[in-house]
Order: sequence, then C-alpha cells, then structure tokens
Amino acid sequence: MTGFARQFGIRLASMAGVLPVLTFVVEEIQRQLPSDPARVLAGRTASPQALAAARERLGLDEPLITHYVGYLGRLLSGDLGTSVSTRRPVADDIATYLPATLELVLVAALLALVGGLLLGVVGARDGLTGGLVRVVSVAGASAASFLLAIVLLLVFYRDLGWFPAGGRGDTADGPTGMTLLDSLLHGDPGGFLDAVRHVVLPAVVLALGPAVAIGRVLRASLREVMAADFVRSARAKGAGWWLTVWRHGLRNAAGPALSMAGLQVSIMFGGSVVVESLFSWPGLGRYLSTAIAASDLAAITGVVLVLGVAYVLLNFLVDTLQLLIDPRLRESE
Amino acid sequence: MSNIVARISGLTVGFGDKRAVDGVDLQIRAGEIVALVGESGSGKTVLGSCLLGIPPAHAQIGGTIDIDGVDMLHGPEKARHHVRRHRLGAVFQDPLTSLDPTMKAGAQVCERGASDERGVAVMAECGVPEPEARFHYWPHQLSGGLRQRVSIAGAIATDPEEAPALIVADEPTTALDVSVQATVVALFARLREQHGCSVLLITHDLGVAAQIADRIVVMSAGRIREQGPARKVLRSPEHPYTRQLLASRLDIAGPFGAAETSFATANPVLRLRNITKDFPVPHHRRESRRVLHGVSLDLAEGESVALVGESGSGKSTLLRIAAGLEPATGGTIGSEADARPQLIFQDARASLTPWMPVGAQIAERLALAGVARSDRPGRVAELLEQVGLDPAVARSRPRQMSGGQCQRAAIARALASSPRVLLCDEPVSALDATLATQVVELLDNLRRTTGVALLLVTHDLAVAKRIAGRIAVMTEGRIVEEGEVRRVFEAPEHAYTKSLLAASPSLAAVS
Amino acid sequence: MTVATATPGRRWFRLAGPRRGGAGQLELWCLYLIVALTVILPFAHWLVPSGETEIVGTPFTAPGAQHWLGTDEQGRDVLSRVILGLASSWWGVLGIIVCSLLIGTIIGTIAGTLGGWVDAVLMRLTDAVLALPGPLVSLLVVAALGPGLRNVLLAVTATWWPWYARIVRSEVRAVRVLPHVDAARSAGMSPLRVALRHVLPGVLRPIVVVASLDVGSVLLLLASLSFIGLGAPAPAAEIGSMSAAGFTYLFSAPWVALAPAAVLFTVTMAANFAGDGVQERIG
Repeated sequence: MTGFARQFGIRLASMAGVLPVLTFVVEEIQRQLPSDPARVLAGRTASPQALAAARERLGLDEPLITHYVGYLGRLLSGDLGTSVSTRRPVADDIATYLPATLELVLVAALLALVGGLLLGVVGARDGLTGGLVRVVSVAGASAASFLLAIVLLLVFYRDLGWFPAGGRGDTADGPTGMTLLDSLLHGDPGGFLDAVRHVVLPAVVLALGPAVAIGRVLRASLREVMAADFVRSARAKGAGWWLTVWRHGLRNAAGPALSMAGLQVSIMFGGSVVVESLFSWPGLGRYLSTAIAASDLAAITGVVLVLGVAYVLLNFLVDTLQLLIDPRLRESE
Repeated sequence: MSNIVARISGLTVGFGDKRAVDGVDLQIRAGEIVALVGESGSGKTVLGSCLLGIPPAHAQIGGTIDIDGVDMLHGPEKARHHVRRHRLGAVFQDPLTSLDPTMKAGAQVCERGASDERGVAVMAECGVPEPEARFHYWPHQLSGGLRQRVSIAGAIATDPEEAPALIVADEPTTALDVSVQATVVALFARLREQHGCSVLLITHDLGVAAQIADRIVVMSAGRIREQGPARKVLRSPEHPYTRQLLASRLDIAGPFGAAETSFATANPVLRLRNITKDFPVPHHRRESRRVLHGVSLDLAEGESVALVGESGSGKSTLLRIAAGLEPATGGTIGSEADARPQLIFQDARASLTPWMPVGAQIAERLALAGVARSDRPGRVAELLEQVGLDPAVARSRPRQMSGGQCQRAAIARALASSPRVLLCDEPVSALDATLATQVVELLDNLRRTTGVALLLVTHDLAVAKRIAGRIAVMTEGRIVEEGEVRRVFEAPEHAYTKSLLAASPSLAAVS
Repeated sequence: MTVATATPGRRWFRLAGPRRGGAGQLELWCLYLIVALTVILPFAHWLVPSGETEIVGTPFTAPGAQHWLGTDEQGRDVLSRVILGLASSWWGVLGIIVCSLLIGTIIGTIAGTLGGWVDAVLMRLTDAVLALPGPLVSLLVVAALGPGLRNVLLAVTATWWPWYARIVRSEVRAVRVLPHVDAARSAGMSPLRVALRHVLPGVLRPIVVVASLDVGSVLLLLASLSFIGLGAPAPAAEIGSMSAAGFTYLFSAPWVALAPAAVLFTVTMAANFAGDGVQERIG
C-alpha cells in the first residue's frame, strides 16, 4: 500500500496547493474591480474621509501580499464580508442557504450517476438500443436547463399537476437543514413525501446534462474496453456480456467516466444557480443570482469561494477514488 | 466418433463482400495438438474466435462448429456459455493486453469458479514460480513470460473438470522472447500429456508448429490448403502454397547469406567506442539504470553486422545512439562525415509520416541532400524502382499501402540521403515470412550493389544468419560474443549464444 | 494482426477507411446547417422582419400568421429577437472557441515540444486554471467586469483554453515519440521543420474534433450566463435573457420563454451532431 499512500499524498498536496490559488484569484478579481468596493461600502454620498476609512478597512492601499495575507486571515476566521443587500454577514447568509443547495446537488448527483451508468452501459451495446441511446444522449446534451424546466413545468405542473412549481415545502427545523433528511429524522413521512415532491423537478433538470455527459464518456470507454483482449479471454472463459461488463468492463472503463462525473458534479454547483432561480429553490444559487442583480460583490465572491472549495474537494475525492480502482495509477508517474 | 473434440464443417465468415473464412472443414481429436498455420489475413484468427463461439461482430457466418453436441455458432447462448466455461480454454497473443489490469492474477485464474487452492496449484503447474505470492500480484507486476503463464493457467483452470477438452491458443508465443517461447511451447506439450487436452495452436511460424504439432493445417485466403501429419507436411508438402511457405522461411538451419564478405575493420565507416547509457529511474531523481555497459563495435565499408539479442538487451538503444536519436552517457561515436547513417524501423508503416504521400517524403530527403527541385521527381522514381516498387506509388499515403510496400518505401526514403550506413531495427519481424525474405534479400542486394554498410538489430538468429557477415550477441547491455557469422553458428563460445541457438525454433527439429 | 508488433492505432489512419453504418447522413446535414448559419447570421439584421427593440404589436400576441412566434411582454416580435440573439451569441461562441484554440494550441505545442522546465511551468499554470471551477470563475469575472458580450467572451475564454492546451500537449508528446518523427529527426531535419511538417498536422485533427464537439457546450454556457443576467444588458436580444424575461409569464404566455429556448435547443443539437460528424470524418 506504500504506492497508494504516496500517490494519495501527492494528490493531497496538490489540493492543498490549489486552495491558495483559488482564494488568490477570487481576491484579486475583487481587488481589480472597476466599481469601487470602498464606495459601495461607504455609500454613494460618503465624504472623502469616510471613503478613505473604508479603503483602509478593506486594505485597498496595502501591498499585494500583505493584503492577501490579511484577506486569508479573515477568511480563516469565517469573515466573508457583509452583504449590501441583506445587510447581514455573508458567512451567515451562506450558512442559511447552503444546506438547501447541498440537498439539491446531492439528489441530482445521485440521479446523474445512475442515469449516466444506465446510458453508458446500455449505449455500449450494438444495435437499435445503442442507436436510440445515442440520439437521446445528443438531445439531452443539447437542452439548456431552462428549456427542460419550462417543458417540465408546463407538463407536470400546469397540465398534470403532479409536482409543485417551485419552493421547498415546509422546512422542518432539523439538525442537518436538509428537508429530506430532517423529515426522516423527525419521523415525519408526510413531510418527507412533500420534500420529495418538491425536489424531483429541480433535481431532474440539474441532473440531465451531467447524466448524458457521464453516459457518453462511459459508453465510449466501455466500448473500447469491451474490444480488448482480456475481455475476449474472459468471454472465452464462459462469461456472458453482462457479466463481463460487470466484472471487467466497468472497472476498466471507470477511470474516464469518474473524471467526467467529478467534473460534472462540480459543474452542478454552477448549474444550481440557474436551476434554483427557475424553481425558487431557497439555496445558494438563488442567493447568488439575487446578489448578481444587486451587484452585491461581497455576496458573489463569498458564494463563488464556497462553491469553489466544494469543487476542489470533490475533485480530490474523485482522484482518490480512481486511485482505489486502478492499481496501475499507484505506481506509474 | 466420440473422440472428436471439435468438428468444424463448412465454416464461412464474411465481412460485406469479403470472405475471411471460406468453407473450412476441420476436426480436432482428443489429445491432439493441431497447428493452424497461415500468414496475416489468412483467416486463422477469425477461425479461432468462431471456435470459441465469440465470432467478430458484424460478420455473416455460415456452417457449423460442433463441440460436445453444441453448435458454437448458432446454438442457444446458455449452452455455448456452458461449453466455454467447462470445456474450452483460450490463450491470446499479447500477454500484456489479455489480462485485466484491474484484477489480481489469481482472481483471473480462478474466474471460472476454481478454488484458490486449485488456482495456486494450476499456476504452479504452468511454471509460475512462487505461485502463492504471485497469486496476489497485479498483472503489471509480472513479466511478459509470467503473464502468458498466468493466462494459460486461467485457460486450464476449469471447474469442476480437471482441465478443458480443448485449448485454443492464438499466437501464444509471438510476443515473447525466443528463450521464453521455447518453454511456453513445452508447457503446452506437458499439459497435453498430463491432462489429455487437445490444443489448437494458431501461428504464423512453421518453426513453432514443427516444435510441437501432431498435425499441421495450412491456411491461406480463408481456405485450408493442406493438412496432414506434421512430418509429412514439413518434409513432403503437396500444395504449392505450403512449398512456397517452407521455401521462404528464414531458418537457423538455412544457408549463410553473406558469410563470405571480407571486412577490413581498419577503415570503419562507423565506430562505437565504450558506449554507456543511463536511463533515469522514475520517481527516484538521483538514481539511474545503466542499460549499456561500455559497448564497442565497428562497422566497415560494405559490411553487414547483425546485433542479436532479446528484449531489454539494449540493442535498440545502441542503434538509436548510433543514429543520433539518443545521446550516449559515455563513450565516443565516430563516423565519417559523409556516412549519413539512416534508420530503417520495425514498424515501417508507422515510420512513414501518415499524412504525406510517399513521394513527397522521399523528395523532402532529397531536398535535404541538396538535390535540385527539377531533378527530384525523376530521382524519386529511380529510388522507388531500386527497391522494387512501381513509381506510381509515389502518390500513395502509407495507409493505402501494404506492409511490405511500406518497408520498401521506407528503405527508398533512407536511400535518398545516399547514406553509407543503414541502421535497421528489426526490419522484418513485423512482416510475413514471404515478405520478410524479400526484404532481407533487398537489403542484401543493396549492400552488394551500392556498398552501403548494414548494422541490423534483430532478435531472430535466422535473419542474422541470412544477411550478416559478422554477428554480435548482446545481453544485459553488453556484447558477450562477437565474430564471423559462420564461426558463431558453428562454434559458439558464450553460454548465452548457445542457449539462444538451442531455443530458436527450426524446421530441422523434425527429422 | 497476427505478427508481433501492433501498429499504433493513430486516428488519422481512419481518414479514408470504411465508415461504419449508414448514420452519416444526419451528421452531414447538420454540418451543412451549421456552416449555413455561420454564413447567414452576420446578415441577420437585414433578414429579420423587424428590429431588435421595435414594438410591432400588442404585448403577448400568440404565435400566428403575422408574428410566427408571437410577441413578447413589450409587444416586440419574438422571431426577430430570437434570430438576432442567436446571431450575437453565435459570434461569441466562435470567438471563444477560436481564441481558446489559438491560445491552447500555442501553449500546448510549446510545452510538449520543449519539455523540461518550460513544460513544467506551463502545465502547472494550466492545471491551476483547470483546478478552478470554470463556470463559477467566468461568472465572477463577468460580475466583476460588468455584463456584456465582450466581457463574457473574455471570461469564458480565460477558463476554456487550458482544456485545449492539455490535449494539444499530450498529443504532441504522443506524436513526438512515433517512429515517423524519429525517422525525420534522424535524417537531420531542423526541429522547426519536424514540428511543423511531421508533428503538428497529427495534433490538429484531434484538437479540431474536440473543438467542434465543444461548440454546443459553449452555446449553452453563454445562454445560461445570459439567463442569470450576465449577458448583454437589458434591451439587447439574447436567447438566455429573453427566456428569463418570458419565464415570469410562463403560464399565461408560454411562447415568450419557450421559443428562444426551443430554437437554442435545435441549433445546439445540430452543432452536436455536426461535431459527431466531424469526429467520424477526421477523428
């Protein structure tokens, strides 16, 4: 296992390296703004003295490194600044909205993984089903999330009335802040069902693109693997197509598909911005889009930072998972 | 007849309007080793896949293959699985790709439900040293020879039976070194003796067939041309195709081709002195691995020297250093200013730039050599004719040409620089026997007519015997024996040379 | 296939090889459509029935003979605005792809050819950008610079090029060790000539394939950015912002939101099929 420990260490170190880069980029963008954050903070009619004070508070006149170190220090103590639109600390706002987004993304990620697996495996077979899956995949990859939301809302809300148009239902106060989990923990089946009804449409919309992308990559690599000699030799040992896929195909084809899955789930954090505003889902994404409308930069950078960190963590997780699946990665390069 | 293991009748496999297998009838008896011999494109591999009941996709298939009363082509899927699981074993050419890289060796041996104990026992039987430990190795931790042994162990570890009734082995030794080849061939013979299983050995090499087969079946263009007891087919072939195959085979029992050539090392055109080469070890920044330990070699004008060795001996690295593609760590390379050494590669098609017509590639070299633009087309045609190609080939891209044409074109391209040395890296090992002989003869002719010196790297002593005046035997980064070709063959001094000679497959084995 | 050495299955060998199945027609027509769009869309302003901000009728007129896709909340012709919106984002997409392709190819070629510390520095830079959440950084950049097509272009290109750089670099490294490059080097050609004649043509094919497959994704990304208010500001016609505006009236006048989204879907799908076609042909 030393190979594993070593490679794990390398990946851990590279993740640790990316986080400062991320914070630095975000901080620099914030600093280089044409719109003056000091003016935003001090207000439109502030006196020059007040403006200078605000400038000092924001550290705009300090040299780059000092400023960055100060910024990092504030970050580590949980200070993300104050939102101009809600007049609350951004960190508090994020704490309020994060569980909803996590819940949505988790459900969608699950849907995307299962969907991607199905599309990939079924699509890898030759013949009519494979062709059909391909057309469905291209269509899925071409649908903007708002188109899908529009169609689903028209059909399942307006015409059939199966699902609500938006919102999250009655939020049960609970330990996790995720309605699905909390209602279960409280032993409230009605609340759970309501939560499920609310999450279905947004999660489907959020999951479609990633599912198709994962499916495409999985199908391509699975087809390649299934043409390999060791698959021939497994089949010559009497294994059927499905058993071979299960035993040899998926393990070997998983690498690229997993990378794609990691990428797509992280992209979901970006996609949640659109989906949450479509379905009035009270999460970070909707918070972000209202912040964009109000040019509320502290809130925007705060959210981007939190989602960015989630993205980096997720990538690290996927890398580690790949290390577990493919023994060759533990030694080469 | 109950002692027939597999009965192929009227097998036809077509792809579109092309027939890969065209009406083949073949029966394999219990305990019999049948060698199916043919050149590439003869349909022998397709036949093997059909026998396993996994024919290539998109093929139109006719005829029947009967194993244990099950039709392996059209029978019910479940019955075919059953036959594959309990009655058949398969071994493929490349041990690197025929094991699943994400599954431990033992798990693959026991894939058909054999217990771990039996898996270890079978691995031991197949000559895997320390089978208990190797059982838990990943494939990439095993050498090529060991991987092939693990594949074979997987092929015979059926359950609950003792061993499969029939092993289909498709070029099982081709990717292995000569000395490993011989032991793997011997392993098949032993398995037959101990378990009485039949073997269908698919090979391009009559020499391998001669080492082990009871019966030889010769195939070309999808049809069986001749079949019979091994001795009969090898000693008194009836079909002209078999005769041609036998005649064209380069064999270590064959005649010396260039033995008479005199060489005056006094005036060498290429002089390698004490060449050393270190490669860095991955992940260990300060460590390095020495692959050449002070090798010296001279090549005289018009001489031909064969550098013989197995994979990892450092022979190709030496050639690349001589060609200037790789810097040497130590030692000196002396060559005359106008030597212009040119390389000929093993994979000729890959050595031609895929998107450029052959003529343009030759013209590019002529331009480098300072030939005026107006003279180039004529010179290109001359060069192509010199290597036996139609000048019209100049307009073709490599993918439109056959393997043999590609190697000739590559030689023509090398000649464009009017070199005095040709460095050839396994120039014929990727070619079928007939073509290989032709290319070897072409190189020999060029040497005789133009006086170009040849330094030829090969793993095949038969090629060396045919073309070289002098032989240098290399192993583990050192030349262990060097001398005139006749002397090395008739009175080898070094133990390694002797073992190489003994392991080389030869038709002389059947007598 | 029988004798030891495997010819590396480099993709260009399939260029003229037999094509699989008969599925090529659809891709071919989609490719024509995409080419036609590229040629026609620059002249969209002369072709549309009415202007970008021109009010032509009562708000929320349902689709009919006069206004094929109806009118929006201000009484503007939806069809005209959709075409104009498509035209502007089309240029954005092509701009992003071409710029990213240029930057990526140059950086990837330099890194792959020179190797050593140049390679290390360039690739660490690329990896750093790739490790950042692309769409989110684009979003932040646009939010900071202010909405507008130019800023969107800048922001997306800034996070898109590293993909190409990475592919080009690995292709360059893969092609560089092929025997035909060794053959060219051993003949004494200059490194520049080897790179341009014997390496780069082999690298361009795969990268063009990847880029053509990306057209659809970039189109969708631009639309999403515009949907959350980071495209061109208000009166300008853009697919995403039009759909966002129409979303408010989804249940009374569904066409206002649906029409731009549906047109976007059709064009993206054509782009994706065309990309597949390109892949089949030269990939």
